Amino acid sequence: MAEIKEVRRAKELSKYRLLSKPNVLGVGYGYKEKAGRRTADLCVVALVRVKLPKSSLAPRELVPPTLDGVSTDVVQVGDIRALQARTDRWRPAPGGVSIGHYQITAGTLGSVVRDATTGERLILSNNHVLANSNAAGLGDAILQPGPTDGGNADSDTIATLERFIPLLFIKEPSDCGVAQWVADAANFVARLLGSRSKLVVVREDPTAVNQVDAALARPVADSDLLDEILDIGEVSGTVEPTLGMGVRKSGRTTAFTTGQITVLEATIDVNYGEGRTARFEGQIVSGPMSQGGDSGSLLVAGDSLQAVGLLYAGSNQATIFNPIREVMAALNIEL
Amino acid sequence: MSTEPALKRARQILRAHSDRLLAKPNVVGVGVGYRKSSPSELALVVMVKQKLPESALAEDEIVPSDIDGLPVEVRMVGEVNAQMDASNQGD
Repeated sequence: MAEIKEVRRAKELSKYRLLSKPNVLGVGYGYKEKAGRRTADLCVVALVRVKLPKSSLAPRELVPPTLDGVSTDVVQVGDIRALQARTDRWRPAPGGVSIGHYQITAGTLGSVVRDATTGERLILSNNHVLANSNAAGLGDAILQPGPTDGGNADSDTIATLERFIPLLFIKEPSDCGVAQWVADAANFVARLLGSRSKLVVVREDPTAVNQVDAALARPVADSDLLDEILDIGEVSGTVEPTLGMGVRKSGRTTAFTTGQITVLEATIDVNYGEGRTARFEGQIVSGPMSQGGDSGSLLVAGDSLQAVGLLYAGSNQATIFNPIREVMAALNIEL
Repeated sequence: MSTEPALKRARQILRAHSDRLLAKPNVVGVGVGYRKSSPSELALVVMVKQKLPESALAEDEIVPSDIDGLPVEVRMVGEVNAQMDASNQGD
């Protein structure tokens, strides 16, 4: 049995010769495998993209069975790419990476979906990720990565805003001109009097209820999108959520996480910043499995590749999802 | 385990009372879930920003311990925010 010193020496002496063979991507040392099982024998390991039968290789392309008396092993590793962060630029882009309307920070590219009428591939995420919480115009630039992650409109526009379901707020700063003028005047007086507090006009509509926070973007080039979601794979079809169901998601900020559904049929008030609150009904609640930037992630069943929900909100104690079937019906899409 | 009729009944009770519960100042959400202490028993889950002792609440702010025979479980969820990256959000 070869000593580690001999194996290392054999590896150092032969590595450049091995790396010059067309299929070899890397050289190292490790325990030899026989019939899929690790043996106690140390050997020089050649990492290849694909294992090929000896008959299809020229003699000079073969990895010799021994090098300086040390045995060798050939291990298939496939294509090796540099590990990319989810906040990096990805082309083609899979689900689970950073994306955003050019005026927001960043959220998550949920998944590629298909228009139920035309069959075209589109990007699914939230209204507040792709449509800037109603403030966007159709055709606006969608950046991958999102602006906070360095995306800019000149070089990183992956798609344009296709359509979105408007968010209804139960509480938001008023856009009523007269009321704002009164408030501005009051603020002016207050400033003269040395007050630092500011009066903001708030409009309330307690009857406004949402089912989904969802939007679609159309890729600039179809080839820029991958059907799979990072660390999950290619999702197809849906499954109804149940209490206690194990679930998983892949998102920009917290990457791959798992959880359990704790509450169903939830009506819940969500803070959208800038004094806006939106009420949602029929929602799915899980334990905490997300943070800011994960919005738009697809929620997938723990034991199958079926979609369950669309992540859009959360706290330190819980994560909130739209039921995926409501999202698909509202946007006229298929998974 | 919950049966379909039990779930249906829980949903009906939820629907009948959700507006009243959501009007309480500390309540962020309501839904149906299993009791933490008895994971096969359904409960009406009331999600609150923070758990407060009853003594700190006015009578009409207190969440009842059961509604129409369905146990009520109060859970702290804190502030629920839309989860865009928060790097330049005001919250």
